[in-house]
Formats: sequence, structure tokens, C-alpha cells
Amino acid sequence: MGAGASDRPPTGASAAAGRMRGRLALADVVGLALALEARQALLESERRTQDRALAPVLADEQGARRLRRWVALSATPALALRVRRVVHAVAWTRAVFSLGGMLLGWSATSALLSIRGPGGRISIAACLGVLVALPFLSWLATLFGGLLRGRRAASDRAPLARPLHRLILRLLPASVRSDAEAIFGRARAHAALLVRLQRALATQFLLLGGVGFGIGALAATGIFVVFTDLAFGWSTTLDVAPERVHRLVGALARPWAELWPAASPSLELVEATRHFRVAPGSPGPGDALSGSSPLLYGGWWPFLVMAIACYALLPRLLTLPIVALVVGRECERVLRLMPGALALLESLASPWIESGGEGGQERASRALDAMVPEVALAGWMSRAAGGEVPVAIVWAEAISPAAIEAEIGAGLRIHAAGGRASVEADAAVVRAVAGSGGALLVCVRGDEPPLLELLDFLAALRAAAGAERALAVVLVGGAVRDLETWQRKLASLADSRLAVARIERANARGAA
Amino acid sequence: MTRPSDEAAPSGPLPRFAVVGHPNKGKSSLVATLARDASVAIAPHPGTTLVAREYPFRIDGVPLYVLIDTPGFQRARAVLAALESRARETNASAADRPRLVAEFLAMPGQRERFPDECELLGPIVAGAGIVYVVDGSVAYGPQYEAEMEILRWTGRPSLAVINPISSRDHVTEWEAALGQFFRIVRVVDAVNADLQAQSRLLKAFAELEAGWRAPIEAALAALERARVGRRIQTARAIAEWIAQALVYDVERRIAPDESAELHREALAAEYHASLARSERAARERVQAIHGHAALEARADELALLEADLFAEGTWLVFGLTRRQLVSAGAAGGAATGGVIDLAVGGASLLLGVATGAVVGGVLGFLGAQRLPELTLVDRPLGGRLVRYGPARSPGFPFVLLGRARLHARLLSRRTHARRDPVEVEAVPAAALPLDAVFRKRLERDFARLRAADDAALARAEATQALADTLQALLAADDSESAEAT
Repeated sequence: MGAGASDRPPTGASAAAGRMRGRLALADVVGLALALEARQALLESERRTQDRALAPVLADEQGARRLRRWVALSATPALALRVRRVVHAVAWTRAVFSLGGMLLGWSATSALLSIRGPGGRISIAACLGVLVALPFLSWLATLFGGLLRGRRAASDRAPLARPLHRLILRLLPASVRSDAEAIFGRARAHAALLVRLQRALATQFLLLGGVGFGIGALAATGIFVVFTDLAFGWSTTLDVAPERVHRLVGALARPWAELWPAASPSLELVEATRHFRVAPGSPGPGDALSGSSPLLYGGWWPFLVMAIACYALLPRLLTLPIVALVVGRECERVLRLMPGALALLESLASPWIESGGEGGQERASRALDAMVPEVALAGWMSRAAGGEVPVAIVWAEAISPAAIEAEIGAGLRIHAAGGRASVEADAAVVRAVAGSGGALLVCVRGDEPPLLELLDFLAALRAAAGAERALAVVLVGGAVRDLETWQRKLASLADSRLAVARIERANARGAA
Repeated sequence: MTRPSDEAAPSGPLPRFAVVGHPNKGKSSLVATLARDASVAIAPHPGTTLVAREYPFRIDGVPLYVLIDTPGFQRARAVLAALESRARETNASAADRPRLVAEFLAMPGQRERFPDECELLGPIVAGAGIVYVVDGSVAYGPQYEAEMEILRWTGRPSLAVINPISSRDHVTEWEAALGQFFRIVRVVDAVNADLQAQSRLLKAFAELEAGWRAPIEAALAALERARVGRRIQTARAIAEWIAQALVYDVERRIAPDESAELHREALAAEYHASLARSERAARERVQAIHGHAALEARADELALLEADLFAEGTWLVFGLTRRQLVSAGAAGGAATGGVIDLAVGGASLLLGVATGAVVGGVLGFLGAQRLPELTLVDRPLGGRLVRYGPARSPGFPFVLLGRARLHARLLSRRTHARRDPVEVEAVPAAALPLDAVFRKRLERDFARLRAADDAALARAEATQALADTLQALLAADDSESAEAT
């Protein structure tokens, strides 16, 4: 299977198109098993490319039919050839069973009609036993073992099917054997799912064999009837009245009695064809029958022919389509449950979404150690003021003048910068405070991040006010983690006289 | 071959959305959530994002739109002052402002003076729509006005997102302020926005410009399909894990005269450890389905989920009531009895089902918290095996399911912007009710799984049936969750 189905025309699509709507078949199971194996060999990206290319074409199909279509579209010529080989092998197996059954039916009938008893009689009971009763019972057994029991059985055991399929595998050419494991074998990953399918297939093969047997038996009977003179008879050690035997064969002949009355043995025929070894006048072995009309002894053949047709052949012919349906249903089940099939269906149904970032991500490195120290505002003020009135610059309306006076003390010289103020106004504030003395307080909102424009302002302030002037950034409100953020960011200014202090938001709020 | 995404692909330029704003207001979180990219750098300190980064949204390789994460404004007033100065110099009208912004960015030296503004305005000038993000938990301030004015100067369509990072204290205040600058204002918790909230926001994006609706709607449809796909995969992963755990046992060969009891402790330890390992593997699978494979490293923090499967607390949280256990036990017993009926071809007149149901129900009542049993097995060719497990209690699969369901729910709600460990307490067990219909369906599915025993086909079918039930259950969980939001 190629990596990209869009690179080449989908092989097998036209050939498979005709049967796309038909019943699911063994070819689909084999195709999917082999195609999924080939899929395993692909890279994830190749699988994805292929699935996404095929998904729109498969959008109209569901479940197992979508899988079948996927196989048809994605299979390479080599894979399609392998599938065809296995399908041919199955067809060959069916033919072998049919022909084998036919040969067996012919042989058995020939043998039965050739073995003559006393007076050259052929035992009608033996004929009915081998050509009618045995096939009928085997049909019942096949049906029970293959379909009824197979449907209900909880275990994986398939006592008849497994040996039969092992035998088939052994008879297949080596080139096909490995691929035929997809339905007959136990070596595949999905082998455990095949039990019921294998049972249904074994049933189908056996039914075909039975049909062949019936046809062979009918053909042989016809030949013998036309080209030889058959003399049937019956005997028993038991004290059975001919009337009872007549009732029995009459019951057996009931299905066709109306259609072909001659094929329902009469009481006269039953009585006339009964023989005893020790009765007076009975012919010995090798002696020819005498007395009665020779044609009377051949009167059983229509009954025998109809019994073979009705009890050995017809039930199988009627059952075969049902088994074909069961095979189709099991194929669908195996397709649905095959390992990898569900993942494939999901992949076909789900769009491939890519939404991740492209290229590398450049991240800011974070200085881990450097932090501007936090100070207690009152103590810092008393140490730094130097007898002069402190200057407070309120950045971006972080606190009202009344609130800052309430917090720090009256008599402050207060300026406003940042926020709605222009850049020129900021510069004017820097110039204004540079000429005065006293500690410098820049009040900012603690819950907002430190921006570069504030750092620019602080740098300008330091340059204008001189390196020794006490300067503190006062955080109004904000959490403890905000304080740390500010301490680290302000450290990038490398200002040894810079400090950070906090005012609780609750204190500032009242007057703000 | 035409794909749906091909049809939805925009015929004109690709819709692009630049997520801009003040530093540290959740821009990257919003991008991480919408792009489902856990690799987006998000940090509590500001200035983490230095350069604009694109997050194209593609379906089957066809791009539908692009999100752009940008650094925050740092010197907005200076930039605005420069723009206003330039406008005065050139006597420019309001219609010229977008051109002035573009010229400003093209001027030499601006990238050195205003690196952040150049990075964030570049995509906007190139045609991106604006998504302006603010923090609804801090008060509005005048420092934001310069940035909003610059964005207005660009002339690009815009909307504002109020992201309440720690509270909604100032959302109303922000709505009033932003309404003056932006036609569309939305409140979205960038870190916790569920798929519905994300969809609403993306629909708002689509309103920004004619022609952007089709690709956004195609993206939303694809996201919904992907969500359903994740749900199906999650249901299957959980079903397979439960199917495996239900029949799991450990064995050891013992000498003919050796006591099985001597091995109980070791076998139990092996059984529990192995089951815990396989549960972790199942969880990792579910995490990978949800794109949260990295959560594996935090497995230790899944406190409740990591609790021992057989711990009493686990049973109290996830197990069934006594009455429900009787019902579950009866269902399991009936299934076993049914197998007996089938084996005898119905000759038992369905007594197997009836007897099994009664026995199972009684066992369910008596053995509500029963541990796996220790059994002795004679081997056909001689020797003996001692076997521990599988757990037969009817409540056992419900415990497994409860844990898996809780884990799946936490993952389905989790955005890729979250960096914190999973908070199990956030979803109390009471929030995981199991209605009677689902409980009955699950009882039947669990009974089928147990009855399937070693039959692979029957087990596969039973597992699939359980996956179907779980899919419906997870869908109900999702819709309940959507209704709650």
C-alpha cells in the first residue's frame, strides 16, 4: 500500500465498484486483513495523509461498507492480486467439495445398485439408508453444528471447522497459504474473531459436498434405471406386516405423492417385493427371479429418485442461500471487529486538526536572584527624608491624593504621571522634582504589571534626581506574588538606592 | 478530490486574529486554549512572550484561520504620542491613521525603541483582526486607554475579551469601558473555557469581517467532530480496560502438598500491582486521546484516582448501593445461568437463568466488597495451580468504570492553558450519578463480558457493546456539563 493514495489512481476501484452495494463477502475480509497489515507498515504521517485523502470519497458509506470501499480504493495491484488468489482458492475449495461429493454420490449409488442379493434383488432399504437417510441426518448435523450451535456457543472451539480448514490450508499452494490464513488460519491477530465465520464456511463446504452427493446419486440412479434392469426388494427378520412398511414409505412419499403418484409405492409393490430366504420357491444367490412381472421389481426406482431429491438434495439447496447469508453476516462482523478496523474508521471519520504553534517560541529569561528590597514605608521615610518634604508621584491614578496623604502623612508634594498624562507631562514632572529635595515615592498599582514605560520614567527620574536620592516604588494593593514580580522587574534598573514598599489596597480605597 | 475543509477554505486572505493587550492578562492562555497547544509559554510573571507566534488552525492540512499570540504593550503612550505627532505634522485625517501606523512601524529604529509594539502591531497592520484581552479581576485604569486608542488607529476590526483571571469583581466596569472602543465584548475564562465557550468566542471572531464566517464555521464543525471522535476513542479505551480487568487473574504453580494459603498475600500483591499498572496504562491512553499526554508526570497528584482499587474508600465513592449490587449480581448470575441453559439446549426450562439471578443477587448482597478469591486448580497433566482472581464482585466493574469516568470527565473539561495538576476534588463523586437506564445497560454489558470468559469473539462483541454504552454515557456527561455551563 502506497503512502499517498492521491499519488496514483485508486487501484481496483472500478473493478470493485460493481459489487460495492452487494453483500459483504470473504474477499472483503481477506482484503481488509491484508490491507490493515500493510497499513501497519506505514508511518503515522503516511497513514494520516492517506486517510484524509480518502475520507471525502468514503463519506457516504458507513461501517463495514466504508471499510470495504477503503480497501478497494487503497489497495495496490499486488494486494488486489493476493486477495484474488485467496478468493480463487475459496472458490476452488467449493468446487472440490462439490465435485468430491458428486463422485462419492455416484460411487456409492453405483455400488449399491450393483450389489445384488438373492434373485438379483437390490436392497431398497440399503439404498434408502445410504442415499437418503444418511445424507438427511448429516444435513441436520451440519446445520446444528455449523449454524445453530455455532451461533450460541460461547467458546472459541470449532471442533469440525478447524481441522477442516487446516486440511484446506495444507492443500493450498504455498503462495496462497499465507494469505488464506486471513480466513482459514489461527496465526493472524484477528484469528479469534474468525470462529463463527469458519464454522459457517465449513457448513457451506459440507452442504456443497452434500449437494454434489445428491446430484451424483441421482445421475447414477438414472443411468442404472435406463441401462440396466433393476430389481428392488426388501426383507426383514422382524415380523412386520407389509401394510406398516407401506404406511412408512407412503409417509415418506407424501411430499410428491400428488405430483407423481407413481413415485409413491403401492401396497402391491411392497408386498410383492418382500422376500424371505427360506420361503418355498425363493431363488438362491445368483438365481434369476421368476413368476411375477420383472417390471414390478423395478417399481421402486421413482420412489428412490424422489426420496434422494427431496431428502438428500432439496434441504441442502434450500439451506445454501441461508448459509451464504450467514457467511455474509459473519464477514461483516469480522470486518467490524477486526483489530485496527475501528481505529481506521475513526481516522476516516475524524478530521485531522492541527492548531499548534509554528516555529520556536522566544521566551523572556527571568533573573532569579536579583530583587529590589522591600522596605517598611514609615521607617524608610524617616530615614530617607533628611528633613525635607517627600515627593509623591502618583502613576496612572494608582491612588488619590487624599488617600496617599492619609497613608503617608500630610504635607507631601504630589505630582501625577503616567495613565492619561502625556509623555511630555511625565518629562515635566521629572524636571520639577529633580530640583527639589526629599525622598521620592512613585505610587503604582500593585496588581498591574511593571511596564517598560514606567521603568523608563524611573530611569529618567534617577538620572535627573541624582544617584544618591532616596527613591521608592510604592505598590498600592496587589498580592504577595505581585510584590515579587515588581521586585524582580525593578532589579533590571540596577539602582542600588531603589526600594519597594506596599500600601494595602483596603487603606487606599476609602479615599480613592 | 474535494474535502469539506477545501470548500470552507477562505477564498481571500486567511482570517488572522492577533491576540493583544496589556502584559500578563491571559493572552497566551487564550491562545493555548483555542489552539489546544499545551506548549504555549504561560507564566505568572509578565513579559513572557517576546515575539509574535502564529498558531494556524488546519483541517486535513488546509489552513482555515490563524491565531497570533503577541507580547503585551509596554510603551503605548510613547507610541501614541509619536503617532499623534506624525498626524499633526502631516495634517492627516482620521482616514489616514492606518497608513500612519504602518509608516510608523516601517521607520528605522522603531523596532529597537518599541520592540513589543512593533511585534504586536505588525500582524494587525498586515490585516489581522484584533482580539484585545483584559483581566476582569483587576480594576480598569487609564493606562489602558493609550493601547486601545492605538488599536483604533489601525482601523482593523476588533473585539475585546474580558478574562476574569482570579475573580469577576470588575467585569461590569470593564464592559462599560470596553464598549466605548470595541463593538463586540465577550467575557471568557481563558483557562477554563469549555468547548461551548470557545465556540461562542470563535463565532464572535467570525463576525469581525465578511468572508470569515465560512472558515470559522468549518473549524467549529471539525472541532465538534473531533470531540465526538475523542469520546468514541475514550469509550473504547475504557471498555477494553474494563474487559481486561474483569477476567484478570494471577496464577502460580505449587507443590502437591503445599498450602494455597501460603501464596495468598504474594498473589494478591501481584494482582493488585498488575491491575494498577494496567489502569495507569489505560489512563495514559485516554490522556493521549485528549492531547494531555504530559499529565503523566503528575500522576501522583491524582490523589483519589490513584487510590487502591480495592480500598474501602474507593468502593464508597464509586461502588453501588447494596440494592444496586443485588441487581447487578442478579444480572451477572442470570447471564451465567443462561449459558447453562444453552449448554443443555433449553432442557432446563430456563431454570439456569432464574437460579443464577437469585444466587447472583444474594451473592451481590453478601459479597458487596468481596475480594478476588484464591482457588486451586488441578492441571490435566498433573501438578496444581493456585489462582488469585478474577474479581467476581458485581460492584467491581462499576468501581473501575467510576474511576475511569471521573478521569475522562476531568480530561474532557481541561483546556491546554491549564498548567496546574488535576484537581479531583473539583468533581465530587456526587456529580457522577448513574441513572437507572445506564446502570441496567452496564449490568447487562458486564454480565456479557463475564459470560464471554475466554471466547475471543464473544468478548470482542461484548467489549464493543460496552464501548457503545460508555459512549452514550460520556455523551450524556458532556451534555450535562454543557447545560451546567
